[in-house]
Amino acid sequence: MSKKIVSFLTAFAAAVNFVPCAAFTTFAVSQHDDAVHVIVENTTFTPESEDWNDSFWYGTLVDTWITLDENSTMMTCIVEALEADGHTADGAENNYISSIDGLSEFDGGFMSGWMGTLNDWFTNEGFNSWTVAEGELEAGDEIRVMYTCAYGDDLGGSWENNDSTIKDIAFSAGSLSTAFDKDTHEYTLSVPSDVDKLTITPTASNKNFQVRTRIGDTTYKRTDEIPVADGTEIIVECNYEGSLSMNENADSNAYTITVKKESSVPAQSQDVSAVLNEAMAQLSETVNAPVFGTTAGEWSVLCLARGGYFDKNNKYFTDYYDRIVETVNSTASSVNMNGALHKVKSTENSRLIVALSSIGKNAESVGDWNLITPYSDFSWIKKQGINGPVWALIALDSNNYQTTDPTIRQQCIDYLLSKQTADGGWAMSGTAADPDMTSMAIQALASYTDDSNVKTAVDKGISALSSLQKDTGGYASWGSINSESIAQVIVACTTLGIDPDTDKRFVKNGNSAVDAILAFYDADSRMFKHTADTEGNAMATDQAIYALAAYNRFLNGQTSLYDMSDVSFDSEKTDGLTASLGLPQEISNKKGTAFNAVVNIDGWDNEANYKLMDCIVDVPDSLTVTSVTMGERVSGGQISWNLEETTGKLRIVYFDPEKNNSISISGTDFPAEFFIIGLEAKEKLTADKLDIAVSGMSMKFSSDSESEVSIEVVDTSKASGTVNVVESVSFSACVLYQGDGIDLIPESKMAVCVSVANLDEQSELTYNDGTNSYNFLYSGEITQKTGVLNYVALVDSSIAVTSFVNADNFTFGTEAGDSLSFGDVNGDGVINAQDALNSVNAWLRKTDAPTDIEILRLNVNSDSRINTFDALGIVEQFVHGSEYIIVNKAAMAYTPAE
Amino acid sequence: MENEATKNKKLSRKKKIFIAVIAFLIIILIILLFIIIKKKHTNKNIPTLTIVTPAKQSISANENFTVDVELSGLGDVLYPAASLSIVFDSSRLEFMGIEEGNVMTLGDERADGSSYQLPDWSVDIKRSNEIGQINVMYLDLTGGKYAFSKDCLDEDDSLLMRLSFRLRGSAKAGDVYDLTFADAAFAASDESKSLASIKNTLKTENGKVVVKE
Repeated sequence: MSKKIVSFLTAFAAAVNFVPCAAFTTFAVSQHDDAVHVIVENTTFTPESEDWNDSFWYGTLVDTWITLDENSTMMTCIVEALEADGHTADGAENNYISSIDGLSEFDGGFMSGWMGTLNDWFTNEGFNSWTVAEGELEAGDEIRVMYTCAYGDDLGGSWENNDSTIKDIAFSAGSLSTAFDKDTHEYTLSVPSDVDKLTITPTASNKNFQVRTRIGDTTYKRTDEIPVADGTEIIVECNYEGSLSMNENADSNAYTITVKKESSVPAQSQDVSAVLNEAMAQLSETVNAPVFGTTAGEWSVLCLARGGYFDKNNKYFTDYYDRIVETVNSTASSVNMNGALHKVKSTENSRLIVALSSIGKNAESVGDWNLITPYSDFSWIKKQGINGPVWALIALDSNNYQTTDPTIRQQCIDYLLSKQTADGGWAMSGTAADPDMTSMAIQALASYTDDSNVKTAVDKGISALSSLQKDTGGYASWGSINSESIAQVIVACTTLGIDPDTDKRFVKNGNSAVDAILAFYDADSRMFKHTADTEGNAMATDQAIYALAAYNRFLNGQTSLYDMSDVSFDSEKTDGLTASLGLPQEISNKKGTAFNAVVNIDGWDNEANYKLMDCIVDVPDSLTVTSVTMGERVSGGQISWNLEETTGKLRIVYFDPEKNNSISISGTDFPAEFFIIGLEAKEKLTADKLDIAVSGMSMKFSSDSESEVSIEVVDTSKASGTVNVVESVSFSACVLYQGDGIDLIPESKMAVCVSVANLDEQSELTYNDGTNSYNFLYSGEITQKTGVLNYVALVDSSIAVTSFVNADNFTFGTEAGDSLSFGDVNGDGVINAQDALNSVNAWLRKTDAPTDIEILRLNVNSDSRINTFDALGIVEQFVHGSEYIIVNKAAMAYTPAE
Repeated sequence: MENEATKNKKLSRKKKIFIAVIAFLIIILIILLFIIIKKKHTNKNIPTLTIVTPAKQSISANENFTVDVELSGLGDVLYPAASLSIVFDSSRLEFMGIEEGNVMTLGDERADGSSYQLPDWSVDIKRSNEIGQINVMYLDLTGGKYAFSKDCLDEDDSLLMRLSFRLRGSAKAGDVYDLTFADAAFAASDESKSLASIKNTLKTENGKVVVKE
């Protein structure tokens, strides 16, 4: 003990610099090349202590640079630093500081007093012993005078142990191959190619031992910039031979750090679209009917919407929305809190609002409820703790929803700022930042960084996330590195415009956050795993997919994941029914030319119980009507029609006079084919154009003329069109679809339908524009529907559609040529289970990439991809006789634009 | 001695003829047996869908009756999809739907260790009656996890499904209404191993509905 006391009285200590700061070091070297850095502080004796009184002080008293001269000692520098700021020290003249500005030894207990370090080492002799004259004090040295309450144990120096290891090493740049551990002595330090100098800041496990950093025989101070090159070997030693210490009989420990320069090639962001698309395809299959909920629900919808897998009007989303309306109506009624879906979990509303925004649905009107209304009660929002305000902000900002209480957003922001942890992040619980909560808080606050307080908080949060990143590039929460934590970091980064794949803050040991999340992808199940040793997991998959979607959007310059300003929101739902008309673009002028006019209907509701449909169609007097047939999906009535020759008015009535049935339309795809009018030229047509228009269409709820008849008028403003009359063979064309490169149809390919007027019978048709050549395939289905010969081909999407109306590019053969039957995938002339299965197998990639003709046969729903929707389309056609979407699309394609 | 020798010679010749005849008969018998066995064996190995003609139906009963569709034999592969198209006289018979058989597909393993489940067939009753053809399909969208397999067949009793009908008022006593396969397929991912009536790899046997006199 006596030795301790003697040492305590004679040894003043310095410097615990836990923050490796390249900027600071550079500044020190460049601006203070003749000075030492002096810090005087009390961080151990706190105002909370029982012995505390108001005459004491706490914190950093002095932090300054003192210019050296030939007579300088550690002590003179300390005194000069104190006096320069008007502070006083007692005992310096005796080489023992007993009090500084009234804070004296023993004030903080019997083991308290002033100690100090020189370059983070508790010197073994008094401060006067360290002089410029003897070469023991040099420019760039750091003197730290500190108050201790435990003979230095609370400052990192101890006589109780001889632990001569290094506890930690900080580098001004680069990252170690593995996290530093005092028992591991070999490391590789990866540094960017443009880094030529480093500062290295080691911390001894016991600061009673000296530490030095050297390259070869050249030793560097903690504040020095050390020149490095690829392969430079840096040795950090503690208690090295010749070093000094108050402790005795301790070993020496040396650590070798080899510098590895990273490639000078600029980091390239990696393309994640292949994995993203594959995972989304599987997700759309696995979660084929999403509902309200944390799994198989909103997050899946968000993935597929923001990942661009489905258009917002896709049936997948419209069906989901229908289910949501039912759920909201029942749940909000049950909770009975102004549209809240849960009494304490505001995130139930927030999650749904985010999903609805992603598909362009207004959360202010979902069924009978406004989901935004409850957000005016902040107490409800924060009942869940930090999660509530985070997701409230994200949800409200997803479509700039306004709350009745306009201060709600600020209350959320203030709440989040107040919950930031000391280490710069946010935590679900406890005081240490966790990556998930930190990331989500950043996502929520990202829109508010114009406020300097928010900006500071977010910057700290990003630094915290960078610090939390593991060498694998991943993040851990609840004790394990997991994909969900990484996903949240990626979303946070992309929200702020930070590339989580190349930004050095998010690359550790050469592994980025994007690398890390891709490592969790299970190619077999096409799902993401929660942790490395588990199987594909629904929640992990949701979060990983929307993180990759966020990243993909970032790379493509799209808005961030939760910034839905790119989504077109549904305007007020158009009530009522609308009709549209499909006509061939061109027909022959020959007498007897026949073609069809296809009338589609949208906005249909079978529950409306329509009993009767009637309408009037204006038919040119050069045409006669040969037939009127209802669409295959329509049932419940009997068709009656009459063409009044003198006026050209075709009157159509559809109802069942005996049974008075309701008219129904099967299936869920709308617009649906309502009826087809067969038309024929009574004589040689002399007009260049023929106008056909549907008007006066209405649905009646009763066919009893004696009763009070209620009517719903169908909007027929789009149900008119013009047919061009041509004298010779003429071509018109439309694009049925173009591939998007996601599911089997290359982006470079598009399906074109060519309608040929004045062609008497099916003939082999070849296109050749001098560069490209294609054999067109006759489509009996489209021909039958339109009444005009139609051909299809899969062509290069760079070819202008106008090339396919140029007769000079086409030649006819003498044979009938090949035909195409949609859905007959194997081309055996029969559509059955084999075709449906082949469609599934194509999507599952169990078969080779489909040929052009197979693509035409497979893509029966005429979107940009081949997937299980096409398989289901084949089933629907086989079982229910449902017309393939592509056929109706071709028939309606020539409808003039609005 | 000479007579005795001649006698013995004659006896020996008769014996030879007898043996030859017996041998010939045995050969014929073996050939017949081989043909019968082969035929039996061949028939057993051609997967067959059979519409089992039910007992004669009475007009006066005015009740639903069922017609069994049986399946015998499947290959050693999985069949993730299957479809049947059966033509019937919709002016005399009203198709009422399909009822479950006992042929199952592979399925998720349950707590009791079993891992088979009944297939969920798609059929449109209304359309079937409109067009006079029952189109029924099963499709496993996973491409095999819930496929038909020969392990799912019961050697003695493999009832694929039951077709439920009712006689319409227009049905007449003594009439016979055919139930005829237009197409049938058990589709495998490797199409060369699929069973399809169009390719004669799946045999179909039609049935009929007979109305009592």
